[in-house]
Amino acid sequence: MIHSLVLAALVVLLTLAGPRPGLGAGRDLVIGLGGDATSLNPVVATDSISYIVEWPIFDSLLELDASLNVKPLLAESWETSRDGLTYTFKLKKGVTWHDGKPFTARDVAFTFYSVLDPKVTTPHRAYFDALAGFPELTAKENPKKPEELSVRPIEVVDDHTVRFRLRYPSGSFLAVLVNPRAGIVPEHLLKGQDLNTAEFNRKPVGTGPFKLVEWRRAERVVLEANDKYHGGRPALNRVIFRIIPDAVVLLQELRSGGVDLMENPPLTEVARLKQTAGLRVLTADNTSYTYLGWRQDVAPFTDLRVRRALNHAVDVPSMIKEVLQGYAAPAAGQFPPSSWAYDPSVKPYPYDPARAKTLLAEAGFKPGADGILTRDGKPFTFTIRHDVANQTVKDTAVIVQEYLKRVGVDARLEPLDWPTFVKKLFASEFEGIVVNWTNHHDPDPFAYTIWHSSQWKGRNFAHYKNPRVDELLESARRTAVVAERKKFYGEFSKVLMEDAPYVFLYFPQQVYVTRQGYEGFVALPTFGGIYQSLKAVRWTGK
Amino acid sequence: MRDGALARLLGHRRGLIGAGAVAVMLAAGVLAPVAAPYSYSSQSLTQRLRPPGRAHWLGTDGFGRDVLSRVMWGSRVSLQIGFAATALSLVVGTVLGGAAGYFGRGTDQAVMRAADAFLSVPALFLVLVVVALFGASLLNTALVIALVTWAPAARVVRAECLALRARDFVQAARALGAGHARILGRHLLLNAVPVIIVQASLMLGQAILIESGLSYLGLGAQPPLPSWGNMVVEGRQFLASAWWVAAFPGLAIFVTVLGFNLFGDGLRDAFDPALRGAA
Amino acid sequence: MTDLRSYLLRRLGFAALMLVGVSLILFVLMQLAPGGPEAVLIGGEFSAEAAAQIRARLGLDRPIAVQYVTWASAAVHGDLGRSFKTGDPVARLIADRLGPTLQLTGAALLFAVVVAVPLGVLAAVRRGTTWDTLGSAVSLFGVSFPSFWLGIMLILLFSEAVPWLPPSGLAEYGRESDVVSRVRHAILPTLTLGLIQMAAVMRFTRSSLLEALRQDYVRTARAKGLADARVVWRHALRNALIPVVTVIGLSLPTLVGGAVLTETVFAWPGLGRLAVGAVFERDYPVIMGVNLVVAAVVITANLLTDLAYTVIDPRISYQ
Repeated sequence: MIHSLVLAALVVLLTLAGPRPGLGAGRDLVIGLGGDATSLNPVVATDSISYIVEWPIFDSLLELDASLNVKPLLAESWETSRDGLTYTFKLKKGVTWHDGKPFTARDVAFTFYSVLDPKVTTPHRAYFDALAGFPELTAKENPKKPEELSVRPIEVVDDHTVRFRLRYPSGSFLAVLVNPRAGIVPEHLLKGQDLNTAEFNRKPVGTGPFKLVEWRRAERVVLEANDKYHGGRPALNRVIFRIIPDAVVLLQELRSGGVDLMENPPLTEVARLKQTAGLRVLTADNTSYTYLGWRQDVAPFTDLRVRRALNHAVDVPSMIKEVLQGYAAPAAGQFPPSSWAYDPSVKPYPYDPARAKTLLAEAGFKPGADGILTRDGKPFTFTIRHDVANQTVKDTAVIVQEYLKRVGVDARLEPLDWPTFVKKLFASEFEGIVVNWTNHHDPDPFAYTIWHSSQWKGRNFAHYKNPRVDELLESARRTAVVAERKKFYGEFSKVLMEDAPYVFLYFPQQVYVTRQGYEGFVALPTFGGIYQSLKAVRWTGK
Repeated sequence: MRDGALARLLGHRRGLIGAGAVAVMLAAGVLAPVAAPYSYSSQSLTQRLRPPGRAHWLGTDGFGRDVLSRVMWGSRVSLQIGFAATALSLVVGTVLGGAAGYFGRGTDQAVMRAADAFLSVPALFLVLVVVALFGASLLNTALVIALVTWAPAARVVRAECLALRARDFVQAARALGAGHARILGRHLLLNAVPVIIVQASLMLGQAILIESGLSYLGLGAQPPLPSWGNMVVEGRQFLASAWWVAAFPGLAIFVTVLGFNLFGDGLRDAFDPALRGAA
Repeated sequence: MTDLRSYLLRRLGFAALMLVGVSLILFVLMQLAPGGPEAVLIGGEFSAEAAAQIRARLGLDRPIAVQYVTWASAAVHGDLGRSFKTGDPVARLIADRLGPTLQLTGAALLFAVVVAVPLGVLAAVRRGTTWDTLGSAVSLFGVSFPSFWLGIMLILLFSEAVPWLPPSGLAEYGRESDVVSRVRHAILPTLTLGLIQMAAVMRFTRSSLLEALRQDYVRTARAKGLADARVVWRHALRNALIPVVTVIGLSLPTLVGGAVLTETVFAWPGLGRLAVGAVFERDYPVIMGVNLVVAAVVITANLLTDLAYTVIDPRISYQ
């Protein structure tokens, strides 16, 4: 008994005596993440948390401005040849790696040759499809080495000049040279190493505004300001990523001062957070989109009327207003409203359950005894697979199921854990899916890989095939003139919407909550948009 | 002795409160298909997160579904899982534990080592692996909970049988030439029934808690099917703005588990007169 | 003494057999589970090519038997391989995370025992009075809440309603060796876990002490006129220790395997979270490594517990 009393007294004493929770006088920035990074090497890292954490550590040749156009970063200036096949970049002088060694064009060449190297496991390779010699360098059988090519795709002209040669004029080439997929890595530390497993991936060295101090697995990653950063030392002292898997607890940490920035709070709390003194809410559009999809080559989805009916069955504006609290834009295809490829004349199907029922009736479905539609004795039922860990996707799937039920379609939800889900997805083993798909700020990379009929073994796991779409995507890819690309993508969006391969649902916005007093956040309307601006963030205390 | 036990049980206040609580929850579950005011899945996006009121006695959740109906249906799901898991676990535990306690020696060693093997793998590990393989259905959830809880049950039964084995009436039965099965079944296990029943009531509560833990990790009953566990998990994000979404299923869990525990206490005290608490 | 030795040898033999058996079953089960580490390593930009490459690099294209033997022979030498996800040596990962887990579960168990045993004794000795009811109420309360629910309630109470304590984490950055900081961060998770474990310990203490008090020899001692307190403390309590040891033994897997839910709620970098994460990510070496370590610890502890029994109660023999 005595023991418990003493213990209790001790506890109370310590509690009161200790300093208030919370970090630093604001010169540090603590960012809350829901999971840990996998690898901090931009060449091989592929998950979104790794992208976020490595972003401040590495620079790329270019970066994005608020309208998602490219502007110089490590590359000071560049020239494009008339035929659009050669890009010559002049690199900034006086840039050093975190270990003090000088940054040169050799590092750039090394980085991108590594991306092209078939021995390195990296999905970023596909983004550089336009480079000369791409098929030969990346061939499965007997890939060539760069020295063996007659036309070198990447050439070191001198210490501060690097030249890229393309095999077709690509409009998206400059757009892919930005973080997070194109960070430059140091040749002097990685030459001769296996990039897949190098110790470097855990102890990265970059040219970025912050350098790695400590990585405690599943706990935190600590970065500190790079005094010698070529763009000027960042105002923040340290950036600390804290890993807090429980979203509710993460929000609580933000409120009690243990975390200064988090993304994607529960949307119903945002209104309250906006009212909370000491916190600020930032929103921005995003490129990733959520959709209800299905196998295009499996009945009854082969019937255009059925696909259109499903589109009419879901009340997207209501979903956005009520569930997403307005923090989303309705989707009418592959491109978000903030993209230059977006064509406002292409509209989504309006919510019209009566029309949905009519179309389904035309397709030969009749309501059965329990309200479920049947055709030739078979009920219209299918399973919808989705990722169990993504709360918004889960919620969306539940709502979609309900809307489908109201028009007589019986959809069964089958949540799967991520490894299983991805496997089945890319093996095309599914009937229906609800997915939130990441996207790129340039229309080509994802539009092509998702909708082109040559990609059935890749991202076109739904097995969509439309020759007109193929044509349009290829044309858009092979020209660098934005106006022309825009035309092709506009037509592409129109054709796609008429074909109704998916129910495109919405583009969820990025929502960030941060502590009042930090200035300088710029949330670009693309993935991880806010992390590019960390070097400009400062604490003013207001 | 039975009659005495029953009388003691009926006079045991805490035990009766527990029984009452459990009975209410059971009734809610059994009657859900007919008595629930709404279906557990019908949504109304414009009626989201309404506080308790006339139309919805316990309010609505994030999809506009009626919380009261879902708590009632959740009772079905959670209790189904609980009873199935406990039954499975007890059957296996009793048979193995009884054999271990009675036969001793090799059987005892074998069973105890098997129990050790199950106990030495972290419970949630086993659970995750099974669910990853076979999917998160109600049956699998029950199965996996049983996998994790049979060993303690076996130990309890074994201990009881060990103690009983040395008692006079067992020796007498042996001397009279009764066979093993008869002794085990008739004398030992029958007398171990009180212990088993007490164990059962405690395990029921535990099974419900484990199911809610599974829901927290994303396993367990999947939406739109309601279980108290997944309702609490879904509702946690609204704790500040719509506390009722998580509070009522949480309360249901608390009341039910508490009820089972109180009832178990009552049973234990009733069967053992010396341990009787104040009535 | 030969009894003891042969008993020990037998138990150790069994232990080794069990370790092999359990690890083999787990290994096979894992491989059978759909999906593999490649999905996690590649993330959203999956491609069948990359997947095949990764599987080959991780040695997953070899037959299962070969993979298991390779793993087992390395494990016997203390080499638990490297994590598929991060490439860190598994042994180091486990060592890093074992500390926080043991701190948490050890503190929780200590709390549980320190609070529950006296309460249980009081409840047994003052059976039927308010002490008994109070004790039961406290213990029942602890055992009727899901831990993640209790955790978030405590967090909201102590860091929102009354902003005293930090909601999660091990310690503030830079303060990892600051005792005050460590203790403040440990209070809520320890309380969450401890309140739940307290129930079992209290119940066992109460009922086993009641049982012990009921024994003939106690009644005799009382009849002889020995002071009550001496009777209780000297004779009955010692016998009551047995079930308490049992309960401690039963909570060992949790102790080492980590209180997964509590660790997740409080972002505690422990072994339990490591294990769960590894299963979700199909990180086979980590899964096997954690399983091996936990199983080894539990089996050893069981052995010690059983030996402790024989010391406490000489009537129990080595069968």
